[in-house]
Amino acid sequence: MLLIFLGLTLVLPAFPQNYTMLYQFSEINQNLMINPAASHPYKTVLGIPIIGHASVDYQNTMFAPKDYFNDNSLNYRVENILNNMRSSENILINQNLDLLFVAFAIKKTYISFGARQVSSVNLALPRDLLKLAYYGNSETYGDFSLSRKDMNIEIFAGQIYHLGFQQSFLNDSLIIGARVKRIFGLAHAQVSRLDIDLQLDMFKWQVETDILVETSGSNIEETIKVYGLQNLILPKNRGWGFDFGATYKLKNLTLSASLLNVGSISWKNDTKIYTSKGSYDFKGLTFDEDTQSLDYESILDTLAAAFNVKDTSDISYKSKLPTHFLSGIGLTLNPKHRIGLTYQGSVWGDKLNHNFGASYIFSPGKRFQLIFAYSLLSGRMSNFSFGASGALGPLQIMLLTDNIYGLVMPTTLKSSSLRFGINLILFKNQTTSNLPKDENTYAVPFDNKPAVP
Amino acid sequence: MKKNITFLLVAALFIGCMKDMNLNPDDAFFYKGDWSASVVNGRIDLKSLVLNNDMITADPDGLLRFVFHQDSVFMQNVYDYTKIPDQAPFLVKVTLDSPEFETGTNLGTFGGAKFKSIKIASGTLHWVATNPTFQPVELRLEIKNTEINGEPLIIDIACQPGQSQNSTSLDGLNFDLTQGVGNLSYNNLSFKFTVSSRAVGTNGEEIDLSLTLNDLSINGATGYFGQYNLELPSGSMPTDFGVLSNIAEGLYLANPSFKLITKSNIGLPVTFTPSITGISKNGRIVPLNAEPFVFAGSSNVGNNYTYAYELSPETSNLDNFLANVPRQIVYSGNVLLNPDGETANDNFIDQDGFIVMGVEAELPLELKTKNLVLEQTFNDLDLGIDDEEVDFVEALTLGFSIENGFPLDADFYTYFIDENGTVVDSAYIAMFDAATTDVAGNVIAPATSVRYLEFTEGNVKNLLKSKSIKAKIVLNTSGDGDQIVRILDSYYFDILIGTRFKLNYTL
Repeated sequence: MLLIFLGLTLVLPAFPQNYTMLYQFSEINQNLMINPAASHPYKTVLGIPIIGHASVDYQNTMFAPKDYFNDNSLNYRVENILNNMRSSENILINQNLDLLFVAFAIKKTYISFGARQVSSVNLALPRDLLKLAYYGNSETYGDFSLSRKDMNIEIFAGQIYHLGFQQSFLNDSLIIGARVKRIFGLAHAQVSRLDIDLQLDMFKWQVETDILVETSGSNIEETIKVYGLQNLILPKNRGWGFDFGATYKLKNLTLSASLLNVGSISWKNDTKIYTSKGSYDFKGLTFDEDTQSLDYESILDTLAAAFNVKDTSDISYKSKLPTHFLSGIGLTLNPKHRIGLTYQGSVWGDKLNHNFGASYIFSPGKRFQLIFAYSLLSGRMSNFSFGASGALGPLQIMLLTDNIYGLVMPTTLKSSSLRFGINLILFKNQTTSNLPKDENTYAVPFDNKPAVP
Repeated sequence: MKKNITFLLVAALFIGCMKDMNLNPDDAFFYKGDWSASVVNGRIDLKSLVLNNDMITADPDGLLRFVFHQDSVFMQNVYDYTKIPDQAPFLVKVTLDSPEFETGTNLGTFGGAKFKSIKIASGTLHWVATNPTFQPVELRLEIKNTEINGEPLIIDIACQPGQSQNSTSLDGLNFDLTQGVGNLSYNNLSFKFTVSSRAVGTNGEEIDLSLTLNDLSINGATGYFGQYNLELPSGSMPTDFGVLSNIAEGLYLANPSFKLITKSNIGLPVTFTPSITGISKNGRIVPLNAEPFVFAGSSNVGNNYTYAYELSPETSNLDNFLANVPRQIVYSGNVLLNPDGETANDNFIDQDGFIVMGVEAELPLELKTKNLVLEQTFNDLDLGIDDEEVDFVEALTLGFSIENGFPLDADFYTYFIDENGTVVDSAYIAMFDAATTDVAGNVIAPATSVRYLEFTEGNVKNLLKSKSIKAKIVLNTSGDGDQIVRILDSYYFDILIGTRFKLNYTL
């Protein structure tokens, strides 16, 4: 198992914020965070503080290491990357750390709560703009429009305090769950509105903009100075989020769905609002017939007036939480083998991203599970993923990574993701003192009567 | 053992694949952006040109008219026309015991001039007396028919024994030259001598007296001033043709009006033979070839007389003279006084006499241009580019998007000149087409042209290294410069100049 863990650590795999594998891997109790109605075999779970669950995601859909680190000239490499871009590519860095995670069952009710520290940077880079910067506008690169689908940025840092609840119905065939999240934002930046039209040719540059950028907490020193140190711990930037989920079991077939992050955050600390709305036709310096000279000085004033650039401070604004919708279907072939299909729709900016996943879970014993998954991310990236969860007594260690192909071909990696955690667990109807010793004993998550020797 | 094999297998796979990567890749980056942008835009509107230029007016139908005045091309000292030569000495013997007596002579003149009166502006009467006695003798000389301060001019001559001499100023003296000892009615000079005092015993002695009028200049005269030629003072002057100043050559006007305006208050007919030559911006010399003309002069004292002599292409070289667009006019010539000889009317001139000749040009812009050249040189260029950086532009294109409301087409030439003044490169473009005109030469529809002037990498290097750039625009009216067109104040010229430059810059 150590060998496998080492291998997974080296791989630094897959697509960030890809929930399709974790969604089906209910042996890890933290998947309640992506389906509040997920069924679990555990009576009690206590995540070890700080290391109960940690994840790091990095995604760069624009290029893989080999696209840059090769023997070709830098110009060739850059051109190769640009010419293979889609209309928009993403760079995302996301980090989650569970400060506390506790879950326990009371009869048919399952309650979980905890605190999570989150930070993320999400960029959408527009191909057309990058090509314009590299190639110039003389050929076909100077006529395009940009929206938030093409060009976006969102930065977030904060803490989430959450309380989850699930209840079984219909003789445990139906589980309904929900989670409420109190969110404290430390820093944030987002592009709330972006429409840019560019028509750049030899005789006229026509630019129209409608841009709204909102930031909060960009100056930590200023925040501490104005709002006090306590605002770093419990900032005044607060919001609510809600997750909903349902799971229905029909014999060996399990249907499930969840809706995550319904809510928003109100940002109040150290806010700055930048807007630009206007249009400008630039036809070069204007020859002034009266003075018989070129009018240089008016350009900057005219530009500022035309684009109506403004920045204002200390005006609160709201940001929506990145909403995800997941649905899955699982089929338990026998107590050792389970397969599942998952769909994940994620909204960011004005764009809906689609991920599809297929997974196979092998449970050779109650305390050890392996998951092998395939994901098709945003209709483009294929990932083969792998994860494992093992328990030594009440200590559960889990590690999940996407894109196992990266183990073989790390130079092609465009993203990496690692989830790691250590929990203390107690199985339902079990105590740590009478855990089964038989290696052939296994857990069946959706069976409301877990196997007992 | 099984675990170790698995680990080694994974490690080998990972390390093997890393061989595909070069962790120290080439980092030399050449920025090769190919950018286009507009550089300058502008409208040249003849309406505003008219408003801002005193030299251009618009007719009711909008036809522009270029008006040029130069009041005093020629100006001559009119007293040159009444010059009096230094006179020969007039010798008189005065017998000491004789009574007073009168004698006279004629004023010497140029060209047979017959003065009836003159007013001396400056001059002297110089006398030399030779007294053979041993005692002083005093003589009194009255210049007859003269007046100064209401009195005739009387000079006392003190003749010391031996020879003595002196001069007397004649400034301001008026002569009436119609009376004298002879029967002439002009140029008469009369003198009356009286012996004022002498010593006893000098009877029969004679004083030899020599009288000379020297350095006479006059500022008033009547009579006949003679017939002779005088050279006009030569000189040169710059012209100020305003907006036309940049035109090197090639402007042919259909109906130019060019007049030599002569104005004077002296009563003297003259024939002017002007010699006027125009020198263009490029040093091309074209004479006007104006024919001689007669100026009748004023008919009455105190009246001014003005005469406008109009030149035409038929009687002069006016069309070519104007087409040369002179930046400098060189003038000279001569004047013939009284070309018809003596007439019944006396010539006259007084102390305020003047004669000036100016130029008045009215040039309605009905024209044809045959290779009309506009030139401008931009000197002392410093583009701030080191020699080793001249490669950073691989190619350059200038684009001209023009809506031309003028009935003129244009070709554009640029010359890149190095620090030695040598043209190291050049470029050419047929920049825009002429607007469409009707048969009268009025524009009925503007012409839109989009043209590109491409510079190769070599051109660009030469451009970046050049120290000055000469721009030349050659304009032709429709029909290869043969059609007469009319320039109206409604014409305009919209221009957009864009540039496209392909860079190759090492970052």
